Amino acid sequence: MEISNIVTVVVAFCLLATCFSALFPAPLSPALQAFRALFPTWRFFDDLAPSPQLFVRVSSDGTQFDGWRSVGSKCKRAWWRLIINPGGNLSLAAASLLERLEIETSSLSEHDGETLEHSTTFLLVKALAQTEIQSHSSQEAPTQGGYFQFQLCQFGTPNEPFLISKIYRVLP
Amino acid sequence: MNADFNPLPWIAVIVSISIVIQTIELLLLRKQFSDDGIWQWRIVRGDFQNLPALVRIFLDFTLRMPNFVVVLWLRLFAAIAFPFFASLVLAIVLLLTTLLISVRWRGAFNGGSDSMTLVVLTGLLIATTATSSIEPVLAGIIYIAIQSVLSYFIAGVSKLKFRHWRDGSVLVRFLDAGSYRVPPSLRNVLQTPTAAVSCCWAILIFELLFPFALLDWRICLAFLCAGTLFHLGNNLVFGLNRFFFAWLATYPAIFWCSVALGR
Repeated sequence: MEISNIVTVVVAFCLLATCFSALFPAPLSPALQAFRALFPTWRFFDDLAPSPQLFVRVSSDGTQFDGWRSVGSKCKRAWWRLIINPGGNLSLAAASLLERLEIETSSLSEHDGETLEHSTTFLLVKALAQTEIQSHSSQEAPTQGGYFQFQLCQFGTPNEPFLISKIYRVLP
Repeated sequence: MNADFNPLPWIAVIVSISIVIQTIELLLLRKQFSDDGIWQWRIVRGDFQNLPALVRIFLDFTLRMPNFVVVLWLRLFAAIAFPFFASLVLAIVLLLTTLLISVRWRGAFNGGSDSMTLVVLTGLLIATTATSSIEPVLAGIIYIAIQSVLSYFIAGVSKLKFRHWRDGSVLVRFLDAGSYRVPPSLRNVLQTPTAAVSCCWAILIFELLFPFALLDWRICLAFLCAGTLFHLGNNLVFGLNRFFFAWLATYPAIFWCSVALGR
């Protein structure tokens, strides 16, 4: 086979696959979305809006809460992070998770609150909030057996949440 | 092969380094996807309820803890061995474990870098199927090169549509989104309209013109140097270390294509 023929076949395949991904950017189901790395769209960092911000607050009795506290912090710079950067990549993964919840929230009507609360993305954000509270428990009021709540806001508008969770017990 | 230089060993070494780094990062983060972490499998598996039972059983077995950690170790050892014993079996192990990691993170742990790693591994898998014929090797190399060139070009076209890329205002928003606190001095520089517009248009022009890298090896070298600096800058400012290594692994394939097509 001539090299030009191979080039033609491979280019045609790549273009077809990429056009397919561009035409159908949102897979139909979460299960298909989990395999989206196989069908790259190569559209990144174009329409960038900062990720939503997650805020949590805790209470010992479920009625009197501390103030909302922002979750997530920027990593400190270090030369080795140019090679290996687990903390930075975890922050980016958490930001993607919050963006996904924002998209799912905006696609649901007001009556779909119960549906959202049982969605995988919501449960993961709830776990993110709880993990954050537990990691700060030594600095705050005791959280074991206490309660927490979380909210999501657009970047720069901490007083205008687009999602406020119910009150949940802090699990041990 | 038509071109004198064989890119496959280079691609294999760079993608192996990339996978070793990615896997060590995940092993360091294993508490985050353990049963009392954030990305708990009992939550994530809810996404796969509608898949066929056999697929669900396979995913349940491979992606639950502690089995998923075994998958990560398997990937680490396969990546270390691959440059020395580039076999079809190792290529399949690397491709499958990389795909499993993407699925475990509901599509991708680190966006485009996961996709590009899969592209490179697919190309290497195609190449390692070659026994006596050269066609699979060429197809694998060209597949990697074309996908990499497309990644720059499509990213450029999609950015060009947005006004905040054309007027430079996107840069400050990028600084807020990164995983690092940006030094005030750099922020001040990038906030000036001239610097912001210049930076944005330099990125747009670089990405849109990237397909010209295939025309001649000298032009290609210039683009690959610019690309290395581009990804290094992203790594420095935004902490995108995975993108740096994932895209660098495609560069030998692009260079080979530029030599072969330029003749």
